[in-house]
Amino acid sequence: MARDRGDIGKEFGRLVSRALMVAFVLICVVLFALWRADNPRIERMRMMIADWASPSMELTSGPLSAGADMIEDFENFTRVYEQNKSLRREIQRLRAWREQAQQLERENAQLRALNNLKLGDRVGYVAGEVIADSGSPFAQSVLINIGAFDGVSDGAAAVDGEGLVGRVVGVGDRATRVLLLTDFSSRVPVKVLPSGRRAILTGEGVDAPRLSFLEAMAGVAPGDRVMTTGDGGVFPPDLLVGNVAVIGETGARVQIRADYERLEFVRILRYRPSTEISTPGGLVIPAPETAGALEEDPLE
Amino acid sequence: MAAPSSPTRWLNGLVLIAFGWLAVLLELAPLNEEAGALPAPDLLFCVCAYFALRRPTGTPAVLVGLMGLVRDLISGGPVGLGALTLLAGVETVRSVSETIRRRGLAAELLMIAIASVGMIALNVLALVVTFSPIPDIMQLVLRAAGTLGAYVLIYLFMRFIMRVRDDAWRDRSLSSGAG
Repeated sequence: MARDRGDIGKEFGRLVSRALMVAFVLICVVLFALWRADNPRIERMRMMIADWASPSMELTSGPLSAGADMIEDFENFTRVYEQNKSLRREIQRLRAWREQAQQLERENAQLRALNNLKLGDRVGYVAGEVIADSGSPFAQSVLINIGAFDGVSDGAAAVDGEGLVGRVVGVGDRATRVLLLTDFSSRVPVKVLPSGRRAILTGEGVDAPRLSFLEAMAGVAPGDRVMTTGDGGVFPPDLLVGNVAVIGETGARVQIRADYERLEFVRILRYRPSTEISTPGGLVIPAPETAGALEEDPLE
Repeated sequence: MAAPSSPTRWLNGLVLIAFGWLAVLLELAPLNEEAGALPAPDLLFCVCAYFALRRPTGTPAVLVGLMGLVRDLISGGPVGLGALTLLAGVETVRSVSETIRRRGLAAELLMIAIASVGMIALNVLALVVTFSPIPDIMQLVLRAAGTLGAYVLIYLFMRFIMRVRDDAWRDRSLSSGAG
């Protein structure tokens, strides 16, 4: 009798575990479908988990980064003499540049004062530390240890000391996910200077993203600077993205300026376009309904 | 093999969660964000497969899947797909655990390699079917190779440092000692 009860219990346990398995598989399939459809609920779930996990990720990422830095520093130590010489040369060159820049800055300020020029709003920022990455070739994104509590907003641009890193795609209370420019989903409107040609920088999971929808290849050459256009009002204009690296049959590719190899700290920009044009100007003829309403207005 | 008691199963589950979480944290540690950099190995699969081979009853499939789902959510990759392929990989390894135990380490490594490649193939297949972009094949091959290499390290770490040994082997020695 007791044995029968034991068998029934085991059978029941097996049934429950099978039901759980089936339910779990179904949940995973639904979540995958939602991910494919770019459902915002998935990003909210991600940030909930990231908020919960960020303290332990910070604990792990610190020592690991320090270890990696130590190895790299040791490698650098072996060629410190050559580095010292090249740095001295670089300092001499930069001193000359600094003098030139200060002169230009003074001249620029004088000219602006003469023109009574109104400058655009300054872009603020908040800096954070990279605590995790995607860890697989299926996505290119990083998690940062700042979030909504620090004033990060969805869609904001992320930069390092060199150039644009990516875009904020998920904001939690204490963590933020930044989609890198190399991710398959990344699309950024850019312009190529000095030609001024406009294009969309498209991530393809490789180191050098492609310039899609480039207006024309004429005037675009390797080494040209690639900057953000500011179209759409999400990113500030004129953020450095990189340089045109190669121009082939499939189009041009961009060497990103941000240092993805040692991405430790990231600045999230707080940008709001200074002028929003949301209504037609006075010279534009109003729509018929509006015109009719104006005519019937008893106060007129 | 004698079925482990309920507290032992719970303890096994907790140990698996601890090592699984550590594996996820190590896997996602930010070392190099370049798209062409060496991809991180699938450490969570290594840990789960090691436990599934040695503690089959203490490695519940749902727990393995849940850990995979948490990793999917944190990493930013396709949500649910990583969990399903991890589950498939670990269950495949578990299904041949008896045979692997008889054949030794070489068979174990061969099975891990097969499961690792199979998981990546399943991932790619699902992405193709859903018209999602597919990563560079070379990166995927490197990930599979890295996973095999990482399994050897995890095997040595678990066996000789953490002393996570074979349950069945212990049960057999206990029963022969009692007999």
